[in-house]
Parts: sequence; structure tokens; C-alpha cells
Amino acid sequence: MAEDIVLKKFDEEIKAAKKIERKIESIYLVIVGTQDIEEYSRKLMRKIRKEKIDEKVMEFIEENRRI
Amino acid sequence: MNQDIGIFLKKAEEYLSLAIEKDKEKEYGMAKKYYIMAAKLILEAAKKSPTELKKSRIKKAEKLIQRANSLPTPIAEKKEDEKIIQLLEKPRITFDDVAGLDEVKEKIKDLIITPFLYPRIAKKWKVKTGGGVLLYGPPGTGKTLLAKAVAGELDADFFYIKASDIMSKWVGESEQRIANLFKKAREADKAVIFIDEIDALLPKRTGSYSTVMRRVVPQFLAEMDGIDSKNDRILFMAATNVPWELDPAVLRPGRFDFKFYIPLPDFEARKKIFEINLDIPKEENFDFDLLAQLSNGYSGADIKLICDEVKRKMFRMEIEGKRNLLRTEDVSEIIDRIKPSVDSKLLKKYEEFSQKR
Repeated sequence: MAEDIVLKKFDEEIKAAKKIERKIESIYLVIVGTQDIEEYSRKLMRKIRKEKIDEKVMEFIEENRRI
Repeated sequence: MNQDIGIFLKKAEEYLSLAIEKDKEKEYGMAKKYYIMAAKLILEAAKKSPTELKKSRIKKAEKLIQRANSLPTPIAEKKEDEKIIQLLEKPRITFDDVAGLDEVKEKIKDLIITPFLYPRIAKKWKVKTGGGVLLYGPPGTGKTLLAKAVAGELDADFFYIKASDIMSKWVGESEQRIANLFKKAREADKAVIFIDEIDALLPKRTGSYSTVMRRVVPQFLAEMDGIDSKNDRILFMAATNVPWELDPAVLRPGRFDFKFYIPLPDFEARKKIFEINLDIPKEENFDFDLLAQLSNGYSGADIKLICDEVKRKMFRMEIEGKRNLLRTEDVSEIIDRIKPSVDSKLLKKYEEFSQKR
């Protein structure tokens, strides 16, 4: 019984890993195939900036909650 | 969840090694793509990471993108437009790197930079952000440097273009280039578009006005007006050495709301320009004040030329085993030899134009 659970978990992990591998592969195809890598990098940078702003907002909320 | 992060990070590491390898081999096209690939994977890992690790991973991804952006684009891969419109990496220079021009810098900060950095408050009080700034003055006085510093202060993308490069003999191409320029700037988070020698693009409409001009000028003015109404994250800057040759329609309020006269450097500015450009071994009693006095009437570019000449002279001296420390006379001799590029008549014309505005 216990062995079954371990095997099932193992199976799920492999499935999840394969899903990620596929995701990485598709990211790779997009980046290598793009004609305008500068444009792609700008978009990525914008995402980072947004992420940073969101982070700051969360921190602000956290801090104020504590007060 | 941890397993996912591990896979993303392991792959990111593999792509990073590939990027470094290509970077060393000067295969910049592929190096760029691998750096960005590694950055993207680290970001994926960051999404699933706890707060502290998330922060450091985002930072790491950002660094990789910056590295990718700093690599030169191989010429064969550049499109024609990209050769003309130079998107420079966010300039790292700020107002501190611009010698002198304190009054102009102060005004620019007050009228342009602050509203641009606080758009919500500016909107609340209906203070205009973005729009147009015209820098005019003698050649070599640091107009381009100042525009770069504005972009640096704003942490904005900097698009540099020489007006003469936009003009093309092919039907429709000049218009296409202008449209592309503004399109690219609109895509950026914050952008400064800087057009050098704007007089070549928007001269007075006279009888000799070419058909290209007849099409280009209205389109350009329309794009500028578009910036005003649609996008307050773009600052439009232009420079000219001959402001009196510009189309009066360009000078009317609403297009270039702010016009700044960039004069020849004053005593303090000249001293600072010498100090910045003569960062080489000197004798202890080296006299920057004297050099600033002797170079009255010289532009920043003239002083830079003098300094370059001085450096070459010192290089020759050391090779010949004569001397290896710079003396004030070494520079003053060269100031004597190189005449200022701006004459007093021209200077008067700028001042007159500046008073009329």
C-alpha cells in the first residue's frame, strides 16, 4: 500500500517535470526563433519592472498591516 | 513546487554557460538569445519562489537582460531602420556628468523631470508632462549630452536620431522611418526621443521646399501632436545650431513648449570640462583656473579637442623619454594654437534669438 503511494507520487513528479520540460522547450523556440530579440528583451524588462512594483506594493501593504 | 523551481534553475544555468561561451567567442547574436533565455527561466523560477528568493532571482534575471542588451547587435542582423534610429541603452549619465549649465539643468528639473516622475500628482494639478523641448545654441556646447542626461535622470529609453538620416529619396520611406521611430518609443516604458539637427527636418517652408519635405513635415508635426495628447510617457527633445532656420510652426507653443538656450561654457564649466578630460598624471602645481581663463569663448567640444591633443603630446613625450607629468604650459600652448570654433558674430545671433523667445 505504502509502496503504491510512493510510486504514484513518483509518477506525478515525472509528469510535472515533463510538463516543465515542454514549457522550457516552447520558451526556447520562441526566443531562438524571434526576429527581434531586442523587442523581446524590452518586454521582459517591462515585466520585471512591473513585478518589482507589485513587490513594493505588497511590502507596503504588509508593513501597514503590521502597524 | 520545489522540484519545478529546481528544473527551471538547472536549465537556466545551462543556458547561462552557453551564453557566456558565445559571449567570449564574440557570437553576440546567439549570446544575447541565451542570456535572455536564462533570464526568462530564472523569472519562471522566481514566480514560484518565496519572497526573499524571489527578489534576488528577479535581480539576477534583470542583470542577465542588461548584459544581453549591452552586447552589440551584429551588423548583418541589423535592420535598415535600426541603423538609423539608435536605441541607446538607458543612459547612465545624469546631470552631475554635465559640466556647468546649472540654470538650464535646474529649469529642466523643475519644468520637465519632476512632472514626468510624478505623473499622477501632475495629472491631479493639470501640470503637463511629456511634450517637446528644444535645445539650441552654438555647436559643441553639450546639447546631446544634456539630452542623454535627461534620459538618465528619468531612467528612460533614449532614442537618438539625426534628422538628416530620416530623409530618404524613396517615396514613403521617410514617413515610414518617422512612424517607426514614434512606434518604438511608444512601446517603451518611458522614452526620450532626441532628434539632432532638427533644422534639417523642419526648415522654414520656402519656395525651394522639396516634395519629400511637403509630405514629411506635416507627418512629423502630427506625430508630435500625437505625443502630446496620447502619451505622457514620451519626452520629445530636439537640438539645433540654427534655431532661426526652423519652421515657425514648430516653434509655436504646444509643440516645443520649452526652449532652452545652451550657451558656451562659463568659467566654472570650462574648468570642470578640463578636469574631466585631463584625468591624467599631472604636476602638483597644475593650474586649472588659468586654463579656464585662457579658454574663454571656447565650446565644450573645442576644449575636448584641446585635451585630446594634450594627451597625444604627453604620450609622444613619454615615448621619447622627455617627461611623464603634465604641466599647465603644455595645455596653454595648445589653446594658443587651436582657435575657438564659434565666432562672436554668431554668438550675438544666438543671444538675439534667445532674447526674442
